[in-house]
Amino acid sequence: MVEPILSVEKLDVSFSTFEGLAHVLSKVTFKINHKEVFALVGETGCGKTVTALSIIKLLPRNSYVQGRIIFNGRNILELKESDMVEVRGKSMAMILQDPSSSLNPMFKVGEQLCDAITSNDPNIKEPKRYALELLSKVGFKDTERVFNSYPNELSGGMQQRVAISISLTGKPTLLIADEPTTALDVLTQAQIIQLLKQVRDTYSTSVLLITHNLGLVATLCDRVGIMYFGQVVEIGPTYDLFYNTKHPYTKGLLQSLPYNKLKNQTLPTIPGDLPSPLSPPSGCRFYPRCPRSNESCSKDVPEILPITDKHYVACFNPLSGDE
Amino acid sequence: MPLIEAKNVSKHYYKRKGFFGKKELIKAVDNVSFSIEKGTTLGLVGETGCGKTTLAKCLLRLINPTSGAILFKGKDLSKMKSEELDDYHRSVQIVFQNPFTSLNPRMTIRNIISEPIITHKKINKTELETELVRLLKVVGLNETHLSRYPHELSGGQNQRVAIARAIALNPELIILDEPTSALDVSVQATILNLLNELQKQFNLSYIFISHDLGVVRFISDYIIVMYSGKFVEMGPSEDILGQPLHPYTKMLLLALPLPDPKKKIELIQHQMKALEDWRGGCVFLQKCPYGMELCKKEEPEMVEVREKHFVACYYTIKGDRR
Ligand SMILES: Nc1ncnc2c1ncn2[C@@H]1O[C@H](COP(=O)(O)OP(=O)(O)OP(=O)(O)O)[C@@H](O)[C@H]1O
Ligand SMILES: Nc1ncnc2c1ncn2[C@@H]1O[C@H](COP(=O)(O)OP(=O)(O)OP(=O)(O)O)[C@@H](O)[C@H]1O
Ligand SMILES: [Mg+2]
Ligand SMILES: [Mg+2]
Repeated sequence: MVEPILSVEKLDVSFSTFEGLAHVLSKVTFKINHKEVFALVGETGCGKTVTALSIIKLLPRNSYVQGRIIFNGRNILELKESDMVEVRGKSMAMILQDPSSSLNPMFKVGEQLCDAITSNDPNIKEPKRYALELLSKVGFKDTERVFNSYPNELSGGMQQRVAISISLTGKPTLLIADEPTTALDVLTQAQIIQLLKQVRDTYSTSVLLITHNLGLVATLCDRVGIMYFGQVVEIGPTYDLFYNTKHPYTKGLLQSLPYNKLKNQTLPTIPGDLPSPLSPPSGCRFYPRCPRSNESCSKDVPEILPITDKHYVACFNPLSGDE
Repeated sequence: MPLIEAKNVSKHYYKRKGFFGKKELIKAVDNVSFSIEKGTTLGLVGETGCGKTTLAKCLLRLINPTSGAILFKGKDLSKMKSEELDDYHRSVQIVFQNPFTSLNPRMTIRNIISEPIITHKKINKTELETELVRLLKVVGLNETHLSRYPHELSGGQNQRVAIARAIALNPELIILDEPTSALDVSVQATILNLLNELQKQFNLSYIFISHDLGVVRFISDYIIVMYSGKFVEMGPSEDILGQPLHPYTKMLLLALPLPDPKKKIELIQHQMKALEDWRGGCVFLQKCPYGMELCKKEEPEMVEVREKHFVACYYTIKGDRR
């Protein structure tokens, strides 16, 4: 069997805050295979960004991390910062939600790109040629003009593509994209999807895509992990998650989409709010909001278990296929 | 009479190209006209940077349009006296995209919601308290939230606070600039339900700006499609999304990723055409797969092709559509 590129095993993260210790991730477990696009989806505040930051080891100081994150055969959590600097940029890269925050407004795109290239490989002879090549890879035709532009002279979509080109300077084996298209119109978004696919094919990169957009998930991703309140509650091939949904929370998300619904209809919602990370409920974390909960759900924590060899769910009372 | 009518509104900026460069004219909003009736929702969609927020700011009078007129209940804003303008500012409110940055992080929820009430109304302490509790209830929160700060609430709860603040002065129009794009789909659904509910209850009008055509279709009665500062198509939402006419609207719909792994999106590869003799023609020409000679020379005007369904496109109106 081929080893996965990334394997996150029982990842626990908590933060010390003024009010006490906030348990943000609990036993998060998933893997990403070679050349795979894997999506993480879940409620605002459920811990998607924290998961991503754990993987690239950029969590703030007030965090406590347990578990294992195996990337290319090494446990990231045990690496020294000096080794991690090498990993970041070279074999692992991250695209942030807001492209303007990953670009420096004071420097031209070309300078920033060349900087990234030479810091990855100080011996490279013609960084500019490589930079122009990268810019054309991310879909620019007038690469010379973009090279000479300041970030604020480019539109949001163009900035996002520049950010992607910078993240590609090290030919990463894992690209983490945290909401890369939220602020973009659908045409620009479609271009970026196209680009991510292209990147996967040319560099054999695996992608971890964090998003609220289930349309993106359906069209782009091979597998999906659904997170709820710091836990992965369902994981499986995209098709199975949409057409053979097992977890009541996943079902709730899919039903709340407004597509094909009329204005005078009330959209189905998931009642209640996320519980506080300072005092998580006992038992299944979703049970206070779950329409299918019973006695045992409030007592025991459901483990994530396989239903088929690829589809996993953490629920005592999962949906059967035809519900 | 429409609640608000915009007539030939433009907002132009001059931007210097480079440090010593020539000044370049940016037509952020260019000669647009529309009206909105009471109790209806107008969806506004279009490319990143096409001028949606700029138009919203003109309506809110946060910026002054370069030219054109905005009428409120038939009366021109530029001819209003200051009390009338006060009334207008009370009647038109906005909710922004990102609740975390649009709410002041150093203010409690109580102060955030009280602020507009205290500025616009003479009200004593007990009345204010009753009013706050009423508003929170309307948006599905309660008084325990009053003493909290924005960072202590979830994204959806913060967006409810922003809506509570917007409805505090009994407005007639609320402009919602991508109000749900930072939220997950279940929270989005609660916000959309809330907006529909409030609309029925208070006969509110909305201008709903979003990139998500699925959401826009659900919430809007009318839709305007914008491209590069111009309106290119406008009409009842079922018409626009069911039988789109403008090539740009069609592209948008094809590129919309549907939440269904059986469906694939289509991308019309729009090669940017090099156009030498191109001045003053159609704004969409460079990306248009159907561009004709006429499109290079003259700018198409909005023409009513079906009832209340307008499109600005020579190809659609005149071109052969075999
Ligand atoms: N530095 C920190 N200190 C304390 N709590 C934190 C810190 N960073 C994140 N959290 C908390 O961790 C939880 C998860 O946050 P995270 O940003 O991962 O959510 P998310 O799933 O990415 O949400 P969104 O979809 O809104 O981006 C939240 O409750 C958040 O308040
Ligand atoms: N103060 C300003 N000075 C110069 N140009 C401006 C100014 N404000 C906006 N613009 C330009 O006007 C155009 C329209 O911007 P606007 O913010 O209205 O777009 P938008 O449709 O809201 O885009 P998005 O979907 O990304 O929010 C853009 O090209 C922008 O660069
Ligand atoms: Mg996040
Ligand atoms: Mg905007």
